[in-house]
Amino acid sequence: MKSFIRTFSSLKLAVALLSLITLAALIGTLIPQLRSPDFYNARYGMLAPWLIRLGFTHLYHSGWFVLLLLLFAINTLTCTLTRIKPKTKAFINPTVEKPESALLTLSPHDSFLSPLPPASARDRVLSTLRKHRYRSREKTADSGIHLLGRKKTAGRFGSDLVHLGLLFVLAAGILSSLGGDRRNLLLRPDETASLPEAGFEVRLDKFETEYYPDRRVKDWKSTLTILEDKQPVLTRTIEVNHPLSFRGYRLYQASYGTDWENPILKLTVKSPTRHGFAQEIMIKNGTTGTLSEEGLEIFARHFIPDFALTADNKVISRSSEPNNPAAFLEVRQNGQNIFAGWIFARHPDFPRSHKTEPGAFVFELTDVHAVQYSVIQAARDPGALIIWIGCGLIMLGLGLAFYWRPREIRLILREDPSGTLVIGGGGGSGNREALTREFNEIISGLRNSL
Amino acid sequence: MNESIFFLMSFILYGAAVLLYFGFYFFRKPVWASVGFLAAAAGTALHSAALVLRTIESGHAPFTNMYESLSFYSWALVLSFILSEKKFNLRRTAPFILLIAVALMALASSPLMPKETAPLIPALQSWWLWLHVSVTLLGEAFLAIAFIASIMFLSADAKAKKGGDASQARTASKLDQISYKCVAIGFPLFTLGGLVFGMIWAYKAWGRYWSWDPKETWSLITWMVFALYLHTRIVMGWKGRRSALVAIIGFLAAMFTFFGVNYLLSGLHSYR
Repeated sequence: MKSFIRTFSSLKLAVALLSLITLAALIGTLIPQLRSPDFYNARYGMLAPWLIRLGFTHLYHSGWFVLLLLLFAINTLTCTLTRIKPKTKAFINPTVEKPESALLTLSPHDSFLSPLPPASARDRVLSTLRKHRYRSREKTADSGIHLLGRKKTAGRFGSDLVHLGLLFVLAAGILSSLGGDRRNLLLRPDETASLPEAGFEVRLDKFETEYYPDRRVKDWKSTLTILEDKQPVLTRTIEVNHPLSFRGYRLYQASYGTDWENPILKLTVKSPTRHGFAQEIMIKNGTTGTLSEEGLEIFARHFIPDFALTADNKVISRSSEPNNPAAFLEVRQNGQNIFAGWIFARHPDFPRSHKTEPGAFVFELTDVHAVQYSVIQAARDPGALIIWIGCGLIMLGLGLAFYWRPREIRLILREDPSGTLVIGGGGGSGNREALTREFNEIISGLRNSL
Repeated sequence: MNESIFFLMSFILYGAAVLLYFGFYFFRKPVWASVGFLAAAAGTALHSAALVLRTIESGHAPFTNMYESLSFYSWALVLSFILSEKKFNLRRTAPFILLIAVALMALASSPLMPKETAPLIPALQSWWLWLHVSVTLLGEAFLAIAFIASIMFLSADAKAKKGGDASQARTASKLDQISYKCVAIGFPLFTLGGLVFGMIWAYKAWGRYWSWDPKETWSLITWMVFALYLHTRIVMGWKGRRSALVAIIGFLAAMFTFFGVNYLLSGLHSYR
């Protein structure tokens, strides 16, 4: 056990682990993470299977990286624990009595002779130390009166607080990755999604996109209603950077899109043989609309927002923007198939130019109405609170370690035939010049007043 | 008056300050350094005005694309130099610190950097933008001074070892101290602005405080290099050359986080 602790609390191990973690984190930014095997095969060829097997393609979640982090956590913990015990002891119960020789090795140190007797010299020393905000302890021994003045002693624990904070951060990371719940809810207006683990439902009342004058997106806003037992309990509008918190869950405006699966198509039916004939009809994609006077049944089979053909003549949508809207219609007149083909909003003449035989009717796609949907990320992250505690500890610790440097002044007042011999020494961490300046100020003050 | 005029005037003043401080560096006349300081201070005042005008014109924080960030970072660098010139006695390091600021401003003015203001995309509409970026860059400004001091240390140390006199060794030791003191300011600021504020904002905007996005990862790499710097120096007693090298690597990592990630790696943080 002892040797285990010694191994794990060594600073050399800490430096080695920190270097390895740094190197691994660096490699992880050079290899794109969490892509498909095809991506890696195309990019790395022969190496790809090895990269995948060794976890380099999901590096930050790979077993060996997590193991490195765990070892680092154990190292930090043992390091801090082994150091904190003597530190706490010295903090609560410091050694006040030290031999003169120890004081003379301190830098700065000084000594002078005072005509006052030790007891009255002691009172003045204590009040001077108090004036410089030192808290004093004293011990009377044969060797004289020993005084220890200390200030900003808490600064000693700065680094320990940073390490403790780091452990909180690592623990938070583990909790977040194991215990959280995170899902994307794709909601069209008036749709409700349930979060079974959360015990409530979310309904999207309204979704809107706001634009700047130059048509760039300014904001996405979703008005959400939380339902418990089908009863609305809360309505709130969320936007990016302004999530809604409810019962340990946070609801974020994560994404948005247009529901091109179920658009409503506005068609105009014309007849080249009948001048001035034009009828409008609205058909939801996937359904059939009828023009009963003409005996027409129009079935909208497919809709594509940005129609394109691949090299092998497959129909695809180039994007989810309505750049080239196209619909595939199947039309029957009195039970007879009269038309089956693509029509294009941007190219109303396309079917005519391809069909030599003039049909009785032509169909034009004049408008498309599609609903915008909102993607709401619902997340419960049990690590979140702990990470903020960790961050607070780290910042507090850094503040203490760098800007609350402990200082101490030791004095021995030894009785002398002509009065009192005062021997003093100062110590502490941090700015040596400032420490020496203060020490000299205190000693010269004492020299004058004693 | 518009922003670019103030930007140009501060650029000229910084350039003058560089020349004046180089004058001090070579001829050792204190008056050169004093006038150089005034030029740098006047430049900062005008540069501040440029940033305020930019903020008014765009309606948002002046660091949302590469041009703005470079301008803000050089401002933070000169400001941190002015704040610590007396305290750390930076007169000999000054020409090189200011030279970096001038170089960054020259880079910002290059035609490759789009300069027109653009409205904020939804993810950036937050007060955390101010806190996250300004505190991080201020921290990185102090890390830049540590970087300059470390490089100058290496050169002074090499001279001292090659049979230089005692003054060379004293200069080297002072530079070593400047480097450490600047890390002692820059590291906590970088931790607060870059990592803590960054995580809080990521949690608010993206729903996760950490996603191993390349910019996040590189901030962590930078942080770990400086953690190594502090541990090897304070606990293991590394001083001098090795310590200076770690500080240099740390600053280069910070600069890669700032620039390299945007151009070479893709992720959530790809704002140019």
